[in-house]
Amino acid sequence: MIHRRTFFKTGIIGAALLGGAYSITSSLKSTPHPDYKFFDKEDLSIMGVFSLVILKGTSIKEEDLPKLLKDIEAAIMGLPPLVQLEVKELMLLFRLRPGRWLLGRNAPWGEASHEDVDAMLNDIKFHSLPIFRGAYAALCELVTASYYANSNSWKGIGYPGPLELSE
Amino acid sequence: MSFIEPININSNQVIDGREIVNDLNLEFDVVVIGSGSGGAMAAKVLSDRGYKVFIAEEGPLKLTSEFKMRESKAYPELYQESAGRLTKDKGIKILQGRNVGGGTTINWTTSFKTPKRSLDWWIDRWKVSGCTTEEMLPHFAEVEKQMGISPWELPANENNEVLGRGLSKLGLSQGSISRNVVDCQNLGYCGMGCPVGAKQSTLVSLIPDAINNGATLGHHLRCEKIITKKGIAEAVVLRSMDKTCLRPSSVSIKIKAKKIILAAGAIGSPAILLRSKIDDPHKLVGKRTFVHPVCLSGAMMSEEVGAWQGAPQVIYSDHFLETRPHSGKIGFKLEAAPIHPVILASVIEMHGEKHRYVMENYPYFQVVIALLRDGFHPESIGGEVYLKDDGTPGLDYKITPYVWKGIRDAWLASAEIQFAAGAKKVWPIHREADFYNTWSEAKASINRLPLEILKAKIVSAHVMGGCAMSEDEKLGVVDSLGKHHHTDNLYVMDGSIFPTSVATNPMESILSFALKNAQALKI
Ligand SMILES: Cc1cc2nc3c(=O)[nH]c(=O)nc-3n(C[C@H](O)[C@H](O)[C@H](O)COP(=O)(O)OP(=O)(O)OC[C@H]3O[C@@H](n4cnc5c(N)ncnc54)[C@H](O)[C@@H]3O)c2cc1C
Ligand code: SF4
Repeated sequence: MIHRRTFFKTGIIGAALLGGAYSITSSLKSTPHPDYKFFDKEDLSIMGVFSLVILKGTSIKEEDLPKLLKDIEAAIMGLPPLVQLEVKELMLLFRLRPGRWLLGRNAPWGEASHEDVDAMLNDIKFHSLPIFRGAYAALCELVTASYYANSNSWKGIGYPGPLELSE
Repeated sequence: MSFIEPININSNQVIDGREIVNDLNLEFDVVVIGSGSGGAMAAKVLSDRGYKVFIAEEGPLKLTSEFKMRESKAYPELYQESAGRLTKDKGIKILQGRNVGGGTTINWTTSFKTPKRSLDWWIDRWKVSGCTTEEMLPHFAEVEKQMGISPWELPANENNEVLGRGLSKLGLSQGSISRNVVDCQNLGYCGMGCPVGAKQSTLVSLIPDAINNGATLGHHLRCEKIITKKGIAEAVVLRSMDKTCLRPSSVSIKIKAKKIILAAGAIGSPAILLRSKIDDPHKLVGKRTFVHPVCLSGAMMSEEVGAWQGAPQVIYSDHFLETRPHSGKIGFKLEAAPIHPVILASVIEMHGEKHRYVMENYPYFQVVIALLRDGFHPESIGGEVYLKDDGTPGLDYKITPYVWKGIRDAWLASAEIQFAAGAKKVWPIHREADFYNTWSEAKASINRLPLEILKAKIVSAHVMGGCAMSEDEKLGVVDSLGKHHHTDNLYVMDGSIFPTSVATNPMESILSFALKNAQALKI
């Protein structure tokens, strides 16, 4: 059996997967969750658990997720159409079997423990293939930028927010 | 505090592309594409000269009263791709404006004349004429007068002070930065649109001047292509954009003009030439696009820094530019960078408790940035603008080993300066770096950091080149006055005309060349 690492290094599957080979799959056309414009149910469960791990140490709680996921979605909707497609492809890396296999996981990421998600994030953060490192940047940026754009997060980091301007 | 908006959105000289529902044919003397530094100056000068000018801008018209100092609003509304534009391999984040005012609405007001060394290099190596320092001085002076550029008199904020202190301790040269502001309130939110109209962006200066001269401004209007006939540019085709300015509609506006001036920025202008298949016998369009690659060094100080407040950039050092000849190691300029929560959260590329550690120390965090002088050495050839499947532009920029070496030098220089200024810990912004406690520890570790994209954080807010000036058509797309070498009536007047990077913050250079070339344009 080929070791996972070998596949990472040759990068054929990884690059093909992220480079758009799967872009016409049914997953790309999946219907968004009724409360959302971009994410469907599976995206939401994946982004939910990823967000909790990425934001570990903040005051984020499960019940804050719907608002955060809405903000992440709004950020995605502000990207050009082709970049939105890339975000869809990024989601596929975590959803489809080949991508999960490359990341060493059989079960859906939405059901993963925080420890497993953390280990996977550390893996792609320092990965030898830039494409995985790019996936790490995209995930972290979407989640942390959306979280810290919200003024509720500012108190926890000592940011007073902008001065009130008198009229 | 109240600010009188200089643009009346209800005037019939201000057109909102979203309201155009049927195809239109219009005729003007001059059509200018883009309303940033270059476009606004060209529009102002030509409308001053009595010509009927149309300015087409793909972004929205946002007024001073709409600037709320909120990153969540500013990035999606005022920046290209919500401030998330990336190079093709995702190795460099590119910040550019996309609104009436372009980069000037959201830039940090740092104003420098074009360095003599860059001008001389362009004359000597790139066969540009009419731009010796002596020839440019009157243009710089005029721009400085029009844009309120003057030395900054108030004390520097602590973010800049750290840089200044470190430089002094190490005996490295430093200078203070002039800014294009009038009655600046020292708020520090220039990057989100100045909420009091103090910054003399083109939105509150040159564009209203042009409108007062009779020019028409159209926003939410993207230039799709230029129409040419027998080597003569005759018209442009614009598309009205949706509310997000991301999707063009099928409504087209054709504007016939005697002169067409591209000023869509150094990614936008080459893209229009490529989409229009304008003659390019030497395959130069979009090549040699430069970005002043920027690397960052974070420092944890023992006293509060509060890098979100106060004039963003007021102290700089050119030591590593002046001591490095073009033929040697790549030079870099050192400046401080303002930091707001979203920017900080996204540049640090971490997750979990490590990310939180940086965020919790935000008030104590200081950042030095190094802007590398790309394009002056055979091993720094810049990037290439290309068209994506849907015709929108991208930039393919590979960082060469020569440039990477400069990035390492810049992390080293920044860390030494930050420790000299009293930093408790210094962290070059790189995924494999740590917070170092001493200069010697930092030095040893920085020397081992792998020089790879998506490990080192590299950003740019200065895109230049891609339609270079030269008297020699084999070297440049346009001549020294911005006229296209192979197509009549077509001009480029923005940051894309520079044959290399400018080697300093480019706004004043772009304004000054646009002023000079728009004054010289014969209609
Ligand atoms: C955050 C930030 C901070 C900066 N700080 C400084 C600073 O302190 N000092 C300094 O000197 N420089 C600074 N710069 C850089 C400087 O602002 C830019 O280099 C300069 O404004 C570029 O001028 P330009 O005319 O080439 O293009 P821009 O100012 O970018 O204007 C181009 C305009 O064209 C529009 N456009 C693009 N394509 C089309 C199309 N197809 N149709 C119609 N319109 C189109 C864009 O929306 C944009 O508004 C900063 C930039 C940023 C982003
Ligand atoms: S620092 Fe000055 S120019 Fe910048 S946003 Fe504040 S008031 Fe405006």
